[in-house]
Amino acid sequence: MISDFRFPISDWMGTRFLCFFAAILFIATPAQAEFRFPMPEFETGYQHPPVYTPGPSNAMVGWDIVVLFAALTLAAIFVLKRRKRREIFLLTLFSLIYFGFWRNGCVCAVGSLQNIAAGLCDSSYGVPLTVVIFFTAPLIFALLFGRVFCAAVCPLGAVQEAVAVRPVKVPPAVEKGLSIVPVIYLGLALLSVATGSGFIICQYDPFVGFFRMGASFSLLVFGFFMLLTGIFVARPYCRFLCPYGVLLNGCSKLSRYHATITPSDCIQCGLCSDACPYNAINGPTPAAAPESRKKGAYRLGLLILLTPLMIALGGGIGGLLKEPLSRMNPTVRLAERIAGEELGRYTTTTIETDAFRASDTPNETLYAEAVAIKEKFRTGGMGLGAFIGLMIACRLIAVSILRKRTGYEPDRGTCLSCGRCFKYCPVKSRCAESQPSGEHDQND
Amino acid sequence: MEEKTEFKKRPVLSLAAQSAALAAGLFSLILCVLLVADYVRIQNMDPLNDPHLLQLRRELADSPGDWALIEQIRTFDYYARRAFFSSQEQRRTGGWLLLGGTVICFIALKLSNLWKPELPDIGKPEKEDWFKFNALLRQLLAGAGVLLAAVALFLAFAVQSDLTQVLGQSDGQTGVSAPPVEQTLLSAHSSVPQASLPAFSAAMKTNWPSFRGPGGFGVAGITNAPVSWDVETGKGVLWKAEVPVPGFNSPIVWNGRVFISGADDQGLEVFCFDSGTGKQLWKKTIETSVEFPEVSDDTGYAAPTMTTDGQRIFAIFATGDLAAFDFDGNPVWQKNLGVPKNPYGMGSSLITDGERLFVQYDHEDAQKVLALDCATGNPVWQTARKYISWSSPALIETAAGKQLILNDEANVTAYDPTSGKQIWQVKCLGGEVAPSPAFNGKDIVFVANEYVQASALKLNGAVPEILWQYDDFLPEISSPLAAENLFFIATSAGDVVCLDAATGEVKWEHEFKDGFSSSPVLVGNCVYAVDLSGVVHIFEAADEYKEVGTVAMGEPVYATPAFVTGRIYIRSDETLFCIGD
Repeated sequence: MISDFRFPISDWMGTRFLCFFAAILFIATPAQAEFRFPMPEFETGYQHPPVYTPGPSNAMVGWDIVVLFAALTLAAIFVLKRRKRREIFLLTLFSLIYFGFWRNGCVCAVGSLQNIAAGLCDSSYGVPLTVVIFFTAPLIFALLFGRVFCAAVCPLGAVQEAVAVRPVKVPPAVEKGLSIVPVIYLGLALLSVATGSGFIICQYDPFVGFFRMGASFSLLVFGFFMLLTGIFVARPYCRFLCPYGVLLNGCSKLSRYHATITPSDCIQCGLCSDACPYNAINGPTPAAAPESRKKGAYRLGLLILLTPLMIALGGGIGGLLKEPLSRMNPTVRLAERIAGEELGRYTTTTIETDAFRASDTPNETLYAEAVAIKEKFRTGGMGLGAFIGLMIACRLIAVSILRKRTGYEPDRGTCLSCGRCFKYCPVKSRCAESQPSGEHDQND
Repeated sequence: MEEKTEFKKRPVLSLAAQSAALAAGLFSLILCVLLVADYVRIQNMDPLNDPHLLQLRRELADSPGDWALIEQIRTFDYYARRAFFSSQEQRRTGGWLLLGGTVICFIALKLSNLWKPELPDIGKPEKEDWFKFNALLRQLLAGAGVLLAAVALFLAFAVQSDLTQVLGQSDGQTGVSAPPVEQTLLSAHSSVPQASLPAFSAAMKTNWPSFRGPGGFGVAGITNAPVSWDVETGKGVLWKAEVPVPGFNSPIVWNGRVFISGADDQGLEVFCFDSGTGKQLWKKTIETSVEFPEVSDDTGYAAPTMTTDGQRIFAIFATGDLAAFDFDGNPVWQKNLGVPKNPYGMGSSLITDGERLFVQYDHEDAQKVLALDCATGNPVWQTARKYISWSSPALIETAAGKQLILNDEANVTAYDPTSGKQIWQVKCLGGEVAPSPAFNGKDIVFVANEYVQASALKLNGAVPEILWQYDDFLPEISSPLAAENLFFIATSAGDVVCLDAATGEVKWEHEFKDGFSSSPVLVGNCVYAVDLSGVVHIFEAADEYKEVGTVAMGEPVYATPAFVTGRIYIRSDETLFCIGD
């Protein structure tokens, strides 16, 4: 009996055990890269040879583009045409190995948006063509076929997909509430780039340390918790943090073709919704509305009218965040620390302040630079606040528009095209029905 | 039939996969534990600061040409590197094995799921009320927006800028107001007069406000002091008082009162004596909550000499406790600057310009000089430094204004006493520096330390010019002394050498029986130097050695005497003497 199925205790044991050792694994393995050993001291006239820094190798760049397009194309075929979860998963593993461990997670489409932003903000910043392609290709594919990049090509998604052994559903309301976080992260990342404060998406990439077998201890701990969470909450980074996902979400909503759950008419059994760990399947809307059309229209109109107010409010509050936001910038942090040391707030100095003082640069020079950067953050903070206000307003409007559905459909924005729902749908295409039963894919 | 195929279970294969996952997981777990243990070990490893290696380096510094030592150091260094790189290789291998084990484990778990699939729950779905759910979402989004706004406003007002405060800016546009403590600090800062007080300087010169007298460079404000007295018969000894608690600090004197401090592992104390009678007027115990650090017997807990601004006295101890009292012994303020980490103990004495109290706080964990408001103890400024030191600051008056001169184990550095900004720095010191700077009263600063050299620094530009350097007889503890045209060094071996201040030419050398810990003091044209056995040697500050007097105090003396209005106050091991006519 299907209803008597229970998850075996031994599986739970295995899962718990898995969590524990995975915890130590991801901290222990790459932590070795933090230690450094100084050069030997010589007092016998020995001349240290000059440090040789090899130039960047472009040998693989062309291949990366070819592999990216091939992987995107295959993903689109697997998701839209073949509808095979196992094939999608195998492609995911390939992407993990190639884009992740082999190419060390770089070039990465997620991080590339910072390069593009830097190129737009600073005309002297050159954006390599490869980066442009890595940024645009997944978006174009999302416009055409939905988030097939997330499904099987992104190495960050792939490593999470690989560890999603026992995914459980997050309550839909929590999922929707947390979906604002990637928007904020995207805004902060753009602000950081615009003010010359660094590429925070790369700095705080939780998985690149595993790909490269080396990262700071705190980053490894962060990555470990993301993966540990990912065993039960599938793809936490993709759903609740990924800033590039915000762009893919928008493009995917407009996609020309998108994965469908059922190849034919939905019989509203709801099994697909039960199988989707991402809350990315919308159920059919009720035939009769419990509230009048007039009331809904009034609410929608009010929200649309409130949108400029929310943008203005966000911008105003964002402008007040000059001080906390400016701490993203290393120059401002250094200036604040030096100033704090001068005021006697700290009992010790740091490596950074020692190095600065050793440079013989006057404090005033540093302070002037920091003040100028802070002014950028005042303007940028207003933009960030306005952006967040706009996004919240848009989401409020989106949930106030009734889109009629007669069956279960993937949410085009949030659906990662992972293909988990395919085999749960009891409605089969004629093609599938004609195949021998043994050829059907199975749950992985 | 379709369902049976789609969700067919294969228990044997599933069990095998689970077993493989367990084996791979255990293997990885053991590797993990080993790697984590290795990581922890590395965090605590500091091969280049191994005590044995540091000892070898110190020995090499004493004997630079000792090739056997050099070979020992190289061998030690080689083994440290070999151990490090072997360990690194092992960790790298362990990391790859771990990755392999993990991959196998995850693959096995995935296969286990494949062969024991989770079946769809046909009892579902529970159809939610679409309108209710969307209403909930609207409330959640609105709540999230309000929460974000609240957090943003909190951050906007909670995060303060030290930079703004330093620059004296007011951020009126943001509405950010400085917290009360910062306003207090600012007002304290702005209330500090930027110019010195001439009248106060005169009082400074007629009293003995700090270690080595006014300015802390060993030149007395008076020109006459006794040159003969007899401790045994009591001739010329006005009074004697027992030193209640040990301490290597020197007496300070102000308007008829003599102050010393003392400490042992039982407590920290300050004593006030009547300079006319030797009567102990009061003693105060400084309460401390910190654990007493380890100090050497040669330094103790009360090596730093106190100082006074004419209204308050200030004392600092090896615990980092800094206390201010008025002349009647009433506490004014007290603070702990953090227990200094120091292999010997806190050695730097205090000094004040009448408004600011200067503390040289150069220790292993933190090196800094700070100025505190004498009246409140609030910080006026603080400047970070780089090296440890046991030396005391000197406050000199040059044509360009006052300068606070500090020695450390690499540099002699001048700071602006009003702002703490570095004025100049010369790298001419080394080793563990205890001697303090000397000053000829015009334009030459002298510094010296054992194992390095003595240097004369002419203050005639942005960075002083090194006039000359001398490396024969050098001081270990006793600070050098500058007269107008001469420069004196008293060594721990008992040698006193006189050099020409302008050229560094040796004028004379004289060997005494005992070494010097106390620093020589110039009074008029006489130099007073007290050796470790307590013999006071008085000689002329002249091109040739000419003895003026020699008096035995009968007890070891480590402290530097104080000279005020024809009297000498000498702290010996157990007694405080007042010498006078």
